[in-house]
This record gives sequence, structure tokens and C-alpha cells, in this order.
Amino acid sequence: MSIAINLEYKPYVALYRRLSDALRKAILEGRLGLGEPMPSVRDLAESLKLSRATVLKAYEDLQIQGLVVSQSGSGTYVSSHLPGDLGDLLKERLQEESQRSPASFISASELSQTGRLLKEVGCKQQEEHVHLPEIGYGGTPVELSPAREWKSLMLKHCDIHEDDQVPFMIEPAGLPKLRLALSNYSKRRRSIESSPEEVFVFGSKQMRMELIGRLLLNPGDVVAYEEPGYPESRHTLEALAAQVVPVPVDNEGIQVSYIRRFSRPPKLIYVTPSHQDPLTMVMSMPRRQELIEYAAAVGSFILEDDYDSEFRYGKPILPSLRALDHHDCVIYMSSFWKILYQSLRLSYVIFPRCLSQPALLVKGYLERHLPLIDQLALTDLVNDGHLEKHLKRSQRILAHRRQSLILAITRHLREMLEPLGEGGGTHIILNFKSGVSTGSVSKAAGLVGWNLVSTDSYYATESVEGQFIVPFADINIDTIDDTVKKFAQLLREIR
Amino acid sequence: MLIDRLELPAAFNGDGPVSKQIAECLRQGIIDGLVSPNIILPSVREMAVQLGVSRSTAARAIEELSAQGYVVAEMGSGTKVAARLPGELEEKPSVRDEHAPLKEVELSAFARRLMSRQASGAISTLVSYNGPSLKDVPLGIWRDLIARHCRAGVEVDSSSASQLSYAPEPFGFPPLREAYASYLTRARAVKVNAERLVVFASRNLRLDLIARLLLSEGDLVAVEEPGFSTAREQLLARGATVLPIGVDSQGMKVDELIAAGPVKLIYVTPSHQEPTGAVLSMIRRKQLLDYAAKCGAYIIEDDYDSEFRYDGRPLPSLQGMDSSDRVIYLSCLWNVLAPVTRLGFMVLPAGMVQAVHACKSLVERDVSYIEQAALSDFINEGHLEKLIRQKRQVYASCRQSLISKLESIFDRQIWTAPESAGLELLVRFQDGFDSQTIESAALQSGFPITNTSWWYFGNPRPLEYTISFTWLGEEEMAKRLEHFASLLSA
Repeated sequence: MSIAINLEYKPYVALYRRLSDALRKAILEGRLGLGEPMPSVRDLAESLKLSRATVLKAYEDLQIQGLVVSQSGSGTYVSSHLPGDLGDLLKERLQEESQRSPASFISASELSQTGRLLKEVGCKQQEEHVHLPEIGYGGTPVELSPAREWKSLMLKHCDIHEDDQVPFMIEPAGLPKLRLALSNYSKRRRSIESSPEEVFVFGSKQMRMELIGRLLLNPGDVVAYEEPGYPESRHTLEALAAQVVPVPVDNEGIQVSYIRRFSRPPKLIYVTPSHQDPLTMVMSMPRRQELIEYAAAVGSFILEDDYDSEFRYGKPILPSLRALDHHDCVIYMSSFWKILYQSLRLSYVIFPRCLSQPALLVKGYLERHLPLIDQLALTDLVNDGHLEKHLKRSQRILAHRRQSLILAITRHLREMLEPLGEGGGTHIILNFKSGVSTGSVSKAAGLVGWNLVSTDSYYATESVEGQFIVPFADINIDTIDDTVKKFAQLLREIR
Repeated sequence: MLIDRLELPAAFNGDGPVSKQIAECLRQGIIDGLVSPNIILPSVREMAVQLGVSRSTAARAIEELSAQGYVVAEMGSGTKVAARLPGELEEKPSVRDEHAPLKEVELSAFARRLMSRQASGAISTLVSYNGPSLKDVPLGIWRDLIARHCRAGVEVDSSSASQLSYAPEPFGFPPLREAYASYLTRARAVKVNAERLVVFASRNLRLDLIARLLLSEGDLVAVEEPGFSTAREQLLARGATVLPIGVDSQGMKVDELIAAGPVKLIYVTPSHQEPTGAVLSMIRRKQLLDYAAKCGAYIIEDDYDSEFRYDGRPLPSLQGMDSSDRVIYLSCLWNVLAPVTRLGFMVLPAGMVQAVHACKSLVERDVSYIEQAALSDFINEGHLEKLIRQKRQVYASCRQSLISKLESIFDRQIWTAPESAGLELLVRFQDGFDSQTIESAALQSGFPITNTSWWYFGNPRPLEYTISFTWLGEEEMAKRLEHFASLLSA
């Protein structure tokens, strides 16, 4: 145990006394907790460059004052009850410290303009979270994640080898072998041709959006954003003072014709083509062409968030925008959120060639260090085929769960719903017929314990009444029918 | 007949489902121009008969083509071959031309500033790191802790599985914040409770976030000269005006700062100034805190490397002396636990907690659970402080033996900084040496000596170097030093 001690110089006061005063102060300030062990005499002597005799004498002094007790064989401890009113004094002090509200909160005038905006958007997001306690919806349940494989890979890579030069190079874009593995993986799964230099590993999901925004956007720059669309990425862009313009989606995806009418072409177009978040439709092939051609013509970048693209049911998977692009204008991003969220927070971006150099520079300034062991383990998970094997297995289970959910809904709720859409991923969308309010659905769902998430926060403009996300990754196929049935009864009563 | 024009195999018995094979044949036919655009395909029923497959198989083939954009279904008139083919987009060159000129890109002002600093040679993107030796890191203990916390993910029934469900904690895993706060209180006399402590996955983000919150373009920020270049460049990229303040054996020359007038932010490393190793004296600490309180400046205290002091004076932190809520304290364990954990920590003034809490989740919400849980146990079970103590002994002896070797070889031709902290030693060669000779000798002998130019914002001091003494071990170090010296004298 180490402890920071400032031996104040006092003339004519013995050294041991100065030490015992300093330790007494540390105890009364709560830095050495009641009943906790004191540093050993040897350690303290060594770290303060004092003789052991001096330390020993200081400890004796403290013992006489009743502040420490010595237990033969196991060392010296801070007393669990301090003598006299010292104990109360300490208690008061600690209580005060924990309740002490700051003299003043930082004022808006102390913040920069960017700081004020950052804070304002952050507060807005926190408020929305209050209304969206289920924000964790759709995360993979443990039984559907390759947790066992992950554990053994993590343990394998805790034995870092001394001759492995890896730890001594700072690689802001990620370990080269992981970047290669991800480049190959995205070629296999998503037909993306990329060089490993274009693949960037990130330690947290938000940081991808943050970096792309910081790289490309100046205050006031226009970003076209799917409406409805993932709220958190929108917030990150708004906090960068970008002008985020909602663009409606139809059955084929984002409406490019709508973007064409902008007075100023957007710098960035945010889309989720393989699985619109939250409405689940797949962007059609003609729309993909139209979007890429438009972006190339006006010089915009397309940000393709390949979120939740792993699982499809029936419909064939389409090549990603990045695979179709030969104008060097698509930024592709993906994560392992739907596979191994619980343990693995790494995610990645594949930049167009023209952006990879400047992105590397910015990455070095925003997120220079990445977890080494996680990266080594992920490299193996991807290269050894564990990941794809796992996806195949999950796909079967998820298809089954999805089927039983749809069956239950069709059986009990049909007359209250608009027709179900298709789409893959790990949730479906329910549109209740007019006359069924968002409030009554939420209430009934809460009462029967069914996880329905209103799409309210996905809309920047007016939200759609009675529209809900229904995650099915973690439903129980034995009880779902019953749950939906109870829900339907309850909803009829409430309505 | 459309089907006749296609080169159909005798039987669909290749790889994959029959519907896929049919779709592939049709697609190939469309691409090869055997079937022209706008031609209406036969109905599903006809096609099923002609191909000898079931209707649902034929329907699936058409559906697949339609999803890929090769055919378009039109109400009332059947399915047509698309007028414009997706193939026109898919014709990518099979080998990407890596040498084609790059597209001109309009970057943000922030990125452009970084680019221009890089072009001027002030920053580089790849830094090799001569940190602590890997053999000092207790990998076995770390492995046990990882095993303990990975288990939660495997054993679904165990009570800790609930830890793995999703709970956004932008400030970090609460038990880690408790553990680190009590470590800082003990070891660094930082005034902190868990509410004011923030965990960062990315250490660089700490200064970036503070700079974004506090600095407008052109705001004055005082930094040490020489000083940590990454921090300086981050502030410059933010658009701040950087004011370099000289450093002597007592640390930053606070007088110079006071004379310069009010600033918005001060970045200091009081417990171990890099690269000089100086410790900010008590008198200057008080002056600095008074000055900050008076002119309303915030102080960023970067306590990097404070664990390793060899002269028995682990000075308490500046933050612990601050009574006006002006110090933002940064800490990390990189020099102790690299490369197994790279987490960074920040202690906020009470008045800033709310503001930073609102911002953190916009930029970094999720930090690896396993890493955080393992580190909390590592601290709580006493491994951290034991490790620091052990390392301190080892490094002190490495440092001492390096100094005596240097003295015996170079006598008075080399000056070594008396301040003793950190993992590097600052040395200055006397006039008469030539930097080119020194640097080529270093390269040839593998002696870990680096010139200090990148620490300087203004003109670097000639013949000033740092020697990294921790990662090679005493013997190897001595061998390389002798080789280095023999090359120099030759």
C-alpha cells in the first residue's frame, strides 16, 4: 500500500513526530479508512526514505493516541473506533464531503460555444433516456453469444509474449492483423473490397460517429439523416453543430429525391441500408444506385451504418453500399453489438481510400489506445471461423423465435394492427391501427411484462402514434403466446 | 422463347438451392445481353413448367433477382428486366488501383489544422513506445481476473450475469470508480469520491472533452515548455492559442505565467514534469492555485507517471491542495499496467460533474465491462500498490546503474538531470558532441536514447536527450551503452 504523505518541516519537532502527525491527519481525513490495514513499516520506511525505527516510533505514537491498533502477526490497523470525539469528527467530515454540493456549478459563460451546445444536446439525450428505459432492447442474450469461445480466446491472449513487439507500438487504427482479419471478413460477408489500411478499429461505438463528424464537418454543414433514425448518432452530429436534416424513408429506403431538393447538398448522408433502423426495411437495389450516383455527383459522403445486418429471414442479402461504390464516397461502419455486446465493445469503420490518411491522424488524437487483449482475441474469433459458425447457429434460433412471435401476434392482435412489414435483424415493427394510443400500448405492455419500445425518440420531427419496436432475440417461445394474449385482452380493456 | 436463349444446365444440381441457381443463370443471361432490358419475363407458372421446377422455386428465383435489382415487377404487366442494370455499378476493377490519385476531400477545420501540423513535421502518426518491460506486468494475476469476469458471461445462471445486461454508464463501472477513488485518496491525496471520478476508454478523450467544453477559438492556454507534445497538439487542433511557459528545476515558472496575464486553461504536470523530471515546488503550487482562482482559469493536472519517484518524496497532488474547485485531475495506469489496460481516469471539480456527465455519453458511452471489473479487483485486492512498489525498486536500481555507467564512461562530458522520477532520464551532452553522430550511434547500437525536440513548441535545445531505462533490463542496457559509447568515440 502506498500513501502520499507530506512531511511538513517544523523546526525542533522530531522526525517521527512529524510522521505521526501526517498519518494522524490522513486518518482524520478518511484517507486511511477505519479498521483498514496501515502500510507496513518496511514499505513506509522505504517509500519515504526514513529508517524503520522512525516509522516504528511514529506507529507507537499513534497507538498511544488510540488511532491504530497492532495485531500480533498481522500488522497494524487503523482503529475501528476512534477515541473520544475524534470518531464523530471524522464521521461528520466524511458526511459533509459526500453531501457537499459544489460552491457553484460551472456557468454557461465559462463554457465555450461548442461546450454549451455539447452540454445542451447531452442533457436532451439524458432526458430522452428517462423516457426510454428500455434503451438496451435487442441486445443479444448470453445464450446467443459466443461467450464461451470469447472467454477461452481472452484467456489465451493474456499470455502476451515478451518477444511480441505489439505492445510497444501505438496503433491508433488497431492491430494490423485485426485490420486484415476484418477486411477479409467484410469481403466474405458483405462483398467489400478494402485494403487493411482503410479498416479502423474503435473502442466504443459512439467514437466512430464522433470521429467521422470531427473529420468532415464544420459548424453549419448539412447532414441528411434518415427519418426515423437512430437517435444517438443524430445527437452526436447535432453536438458538433451540424445541421441535421431529417429525410423520410419509404419502402425502398431513404428518399433521394427529397435530398435533391436541398438548397445545399449535404456533406454527409447517414443511412442504414441493410436494415433500416428502426423500420427494418432493406434499401432496394435501384435506390442504392441512385444514392451512390447522387452522392458522387455532388461530392457528399455516404455513411453506411451496417447495423443489425447479420440476420435475415427468407430475403436474400444485398451487397453493401460500400461494395457497390466505385466513386470512393462510402464510409462503412459495423460493430459486434448484436453478437457479443456483453463482452466486446470493439467496432470498426472502413473508410474510402481518400479519407484513410486524415482519419488516421484524427484517430491518433481522439482514440489513440485500444485494448490489446480484446483485439488479439477478436482477431482469432474472426479468422478461425468461430464467428460465422456462431452466426449460423444464432440465425436458426432467432428465426424460430421470430416465427413464434409473429404467430402469436397474428393470432391475438391482428385486428388491431396494420400489416406486418418484412425485414431482418432482431426486432419487428408493429403499427397499431389509429385509435390505439402509444400510451395505452405502453401501459398494457408494462403490465404484462412484454418488451415493446415506442419509436418516438427515433423521430426528429413528429413521431408516429402507436408505432413500436418489438425485440425478439430474448423472448421465450413457450410463453410468448400467452404474453401476447394477455396483452391483447388488457389493451382492449384499456382502450 | 426467352428460356431458350439462356444457357441452362441440363439439371440444376450445382451448389446451393435450385432457386439460386436459376436466378444466377438468368442474371448471367441479363448481364451478357442475351435477354435485353425491358423484356417481360414469362409468368411464374410458365417458367416453372419450362424449367421443370416447382412454382415456389421459380417464384423465389424471380424474387431474388428483383431484390438485386435485375428485374422489376410492375403492377398488371408482369415482371420486366430492369432498364438500368445494377451490373453497371458492380463492374468494379478486379484489382483496386492503389496508385490512382486520391479524390480531393474537403475536411473540417479541425482535421485541416492537424494535417498542417503534420505536414510541418510537428506531429507523427505512429509512435514506437519504449514503456515498461512486459515481464514486470503480472500477466498471471490479470489472467485470473479476466477468467473470473468472463465466467459471468458463460454461466448464465450465476448472479453476476445480470452485470452483463445493458446498462449505459457513461462515467464507468461504479465499483471501479469506487476502487480507483480510494486508491487516489490514499496514494495521491486527491480529494475525490466516486461521483467525481470518470473512467475513459480513450485517454486522449479526456483533454479533448475538456478543451471542447471550455475553449473557444483563440483562447489562451498555458503549457510547459518543454512539455508533453500530444496535449499541446490537441489544444492547438482545438484552435487554442498556446502560451509556452519555461520550466526549471522547480517546475513551471509560475512567475512567467502570472506576468503573461490571464489565461483560460493551464496544463501542468506538477508531480513529474516531462521530460525534465522536475517537481513543482510547494511555493509555486500555492502561487499557481491562487493565480487560477483569481483569474478564473482551470488547471489540468496531468499526474502521468507520478507513481515512480525514487527519492522518497511521493508529493501529494496539486488537486488535493485546491480549495477553489479549479483543478481537473488526470491519471492513468499506462506506465504500470501497459499493455493489459489502457483506461484513463479524470477527477472533476464538483462544479463540472453535471456538465461533463451530459457530454460523456455523446462521445463515449461504453467501456469494456470485463476490463473494468478486472481492474477493480486488481486494485481492491492490493495487487496494484504491490506492483508499483516492486517496480519502483527495480526501476530505481536500473536508473542508478545507468547514471553511474554514464558517469564512468563520459565523466563530465554529459550532464544528467538530478530530478528522479518516471521511466526516462534526461541528459545533456557538452558542446563538442554532434547530434548526427549521437543519433546514428544510437540507431546502430539500439541504445534507447531520443532527442527531446518533440517536447518543444519553440526551438528545441540542442544535444538534449532522454534515455528510457526500464524496458531493456540492466545488463542489456549496459551492453548497449558500451557499444553506443564506443561508436561515439570512434
